[in-house]
Amino acid sequence: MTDYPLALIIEDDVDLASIFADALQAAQFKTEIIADGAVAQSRLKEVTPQLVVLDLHLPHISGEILLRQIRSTPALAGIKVVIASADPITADILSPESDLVLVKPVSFSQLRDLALRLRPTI
Amino acid sequence: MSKYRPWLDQRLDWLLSTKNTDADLVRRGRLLSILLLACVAAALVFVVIGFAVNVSDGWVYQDEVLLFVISVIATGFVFALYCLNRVVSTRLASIVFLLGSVILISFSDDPQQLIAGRSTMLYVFPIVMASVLLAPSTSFVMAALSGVSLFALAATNNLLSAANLSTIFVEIILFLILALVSWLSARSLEQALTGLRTVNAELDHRVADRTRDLAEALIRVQMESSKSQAILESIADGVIVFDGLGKATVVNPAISRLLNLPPDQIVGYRIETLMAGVVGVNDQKAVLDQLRNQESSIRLPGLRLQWGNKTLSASFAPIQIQQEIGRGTVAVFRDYTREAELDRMKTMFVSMVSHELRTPLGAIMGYGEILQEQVHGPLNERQLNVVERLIANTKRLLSLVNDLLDRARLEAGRLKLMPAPFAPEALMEELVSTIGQMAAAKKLELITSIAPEVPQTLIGDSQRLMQILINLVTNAIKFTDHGSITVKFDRADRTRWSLQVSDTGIGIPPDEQVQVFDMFRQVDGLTTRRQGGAGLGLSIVKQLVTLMGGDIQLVSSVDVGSTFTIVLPLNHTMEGARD
Repeated sequence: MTDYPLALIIEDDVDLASIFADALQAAQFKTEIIADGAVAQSRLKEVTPQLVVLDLHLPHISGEILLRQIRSTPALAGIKVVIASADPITADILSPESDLVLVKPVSFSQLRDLALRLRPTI
Repeated sequence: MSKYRPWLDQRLDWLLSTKNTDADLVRRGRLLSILLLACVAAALVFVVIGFAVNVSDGWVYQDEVLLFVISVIATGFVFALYCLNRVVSTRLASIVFLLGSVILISFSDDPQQLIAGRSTMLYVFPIVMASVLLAPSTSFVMAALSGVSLFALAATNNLLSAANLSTIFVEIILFLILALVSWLSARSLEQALTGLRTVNAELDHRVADRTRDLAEALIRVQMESSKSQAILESIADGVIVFDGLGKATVVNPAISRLLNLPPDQIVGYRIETLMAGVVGVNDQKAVLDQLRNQESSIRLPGLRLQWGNKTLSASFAPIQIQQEIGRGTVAVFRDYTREAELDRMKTMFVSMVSHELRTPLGAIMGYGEILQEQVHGPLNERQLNVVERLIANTKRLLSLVNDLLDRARLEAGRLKLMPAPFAPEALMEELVSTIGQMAAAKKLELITSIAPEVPQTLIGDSQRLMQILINLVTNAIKFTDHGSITVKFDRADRTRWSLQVSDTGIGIPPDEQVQVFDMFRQVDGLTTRRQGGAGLGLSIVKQLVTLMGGDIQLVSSVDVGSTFTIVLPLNHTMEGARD
C-alpha cells in the first residue's frame, strides 16, 4: 500500500469525498481527504501528491485560488489536477489550467477509470 | 338708437293692444285702434282750432261756438270708442264706429247735394272698412245701410223726384259693386292669412317634434358614450388608443397611474416618444414590431416589458376608429411587476432546491456504484439486483432534478451556451452509444444518418445539442411500441442545419400538438400517462432550440408516428475546424 501514489481529495462534502476516495483507491491510489481550503493549502507545503481532486467551493480558500497556487509553485509542477465542480461555466473557464474537468455529479466508475489513466507511468 | 326703438315699439304695441286672443280679432282690433286714434287726433285738431278761433272772436259767433262744442263731443265720443275697443269688444266698437260713420256722412252735406253725388263717395269708407273690421260679407250690409240712409234722407226732405230716385238707384248699384269688390278682396286676404296661419302652426308643430326627437337622440348618445366612458375609466388595465398615424388619442386613468404620467402627457404623443428613456431598446423594438404587425392574425399572447421600474404586459389589437381616421390600435397594459417578482422567486427556489437535491442524489449514486462494483467485497445475485434497481431509480430522480434545474436556468436566462467545434458524426455516435441500449430493450431500431452536405465540423454547443437529441429520442422510444426511430442530420438551407427525429409511434392528435412544448404536459390518456417523465423534456428542448436561435416543428398523425424537426443556425467555419 505504501508504494501507491498519493491522491489528495479536497472536497467539503463528506459523501462525495468518501466516494472519490473509494474510486481512487480502486484505481490504486493512496488517498487523503481534506475538507477545508486553508488546511489543503498548508498540507500542500508538506506533501507532493500525484493527483489532486479539487472542489471549487471550499471553506476559507476557494478551489480556484488553490489551483492557481499549485500551478505557480515549481515544487508542485508535476501534479495532475482534476476539477470536480457543479458549476460548468467556472469549470470551463479553469479547464486550461487543469488536467481534467468533471462536472458533478461525478460517477464512481467514471472517476476510477480516469484516475487509472492519470496514474504515473512507471 | 337700438335701445330707443324697442321702447317705441313697446309703447306703440301698448297703445294698439286689445284684450282679444283670436288672431283675426287681434288684427281687426289693432286696425280699429289705429283708425280711432287717427280720428281722435283729427278731432283734437278741430278742438284746438275752434278754441283758438273762439278766443280771438270772444265766443260771440254761434257757429264757431257750435263747431267747438261738436269737436269736443266728437273727440270724447271717438276716445270712448277707442276705450270700448280696448277693454270691452272690438266687434261692438266696430259696429258703433261704422254706424256712426254712416250717420255722420248722411248729415255732413246738404241732402240734395248728397243725393246728387257731391259727397256720396264718402260712403265708400264704411263699406270698405266694414269688410276689414267685421266679417267680409258685412260690406253688403253697409252698402244696403248706405242706400237706405240715402233713400230716407230723400223721403224726409221731400226730394223723391224721378231724377233723384234713379240717381239713388244707380248709387245703390255702385255701393253693391263696391261691397262685392271689398268682400272678394277681404275674403281672399282672410283666406291667405288663414292658410299662412295653418302653415305656420304646422311648421311650429314639426319644429317642436324634430326638436324633441333630437333632444332624445342626444340624450341617448350621451348615455351610451358615458357608459363606455365609465367602463374605460373604471377598468384596472391601462388603455391607450392610437390613431392611424400612431398618436395616442384616448387614455384612461389606469394608464396614467401605470406610466406615472398625467393624461395630457400621453394624449397626442407617439408610443416611441412615450417609451424613450424608460424602456430598454429590445423591449421598444418588440412593442413597435407588434404595433406594425397588426395585420397579421397570429399574435403573441402578451408582450412582457420593463417600463421604468414596472414590469408590464402589453397586448395590441387593431380597431376601426372612424371612417376618416382609418385603422388605429388599442393597446392594453397590465401591471405585471408583482407576478414577475414571484416568477423570479419561483425560478430561484426551483434552482436552489434542485441544486440541494442533486448533491445527496449524487452521493447515493456513488455509493450504489461502489456496491455494484463490489469494491468492498462481493455481493450475491439478489443483492446485486437490489443495487441495480437502486441505481436505476436514482438515475431517474437525478435526471428529473437536472431537467428542473435546466428549466429554471433557462427561465432565468442563466443557461449559457458554450459553442465549440464538434463533429456531427461523433455526436450521432455518442447518441447511439448513450441511448441505443434503451431502444434495443424495446426491440426498436435506431437509425441515424448524416447527409453528405453536412460538413465534418460545425460550431455549436454539442453538449446541449446532445441533450436535445437525447430528450427527443427518449421521448420517441417512450411512445413507440414497434418499428423504428430515425435521426437525420441534414442541411436545411444555406446557413442552417436540420436535425430530424421520426418515430413510428402512437402519434399526437392535432389539438394536442400545440401544447406539446408546454411545461409538465404529456398528452393525456391512460396509455400515455403510464409512460414515465414529468413532461419537462420537450419544454426544455423548445427553450434550448430557441436559445440557439433555431426553430422546432412537429408533424404527427395518430397511430402513424411523429416527426420533430429542428432547424439551427450552426456556424460552419472550416477555418475554425482546422484550428
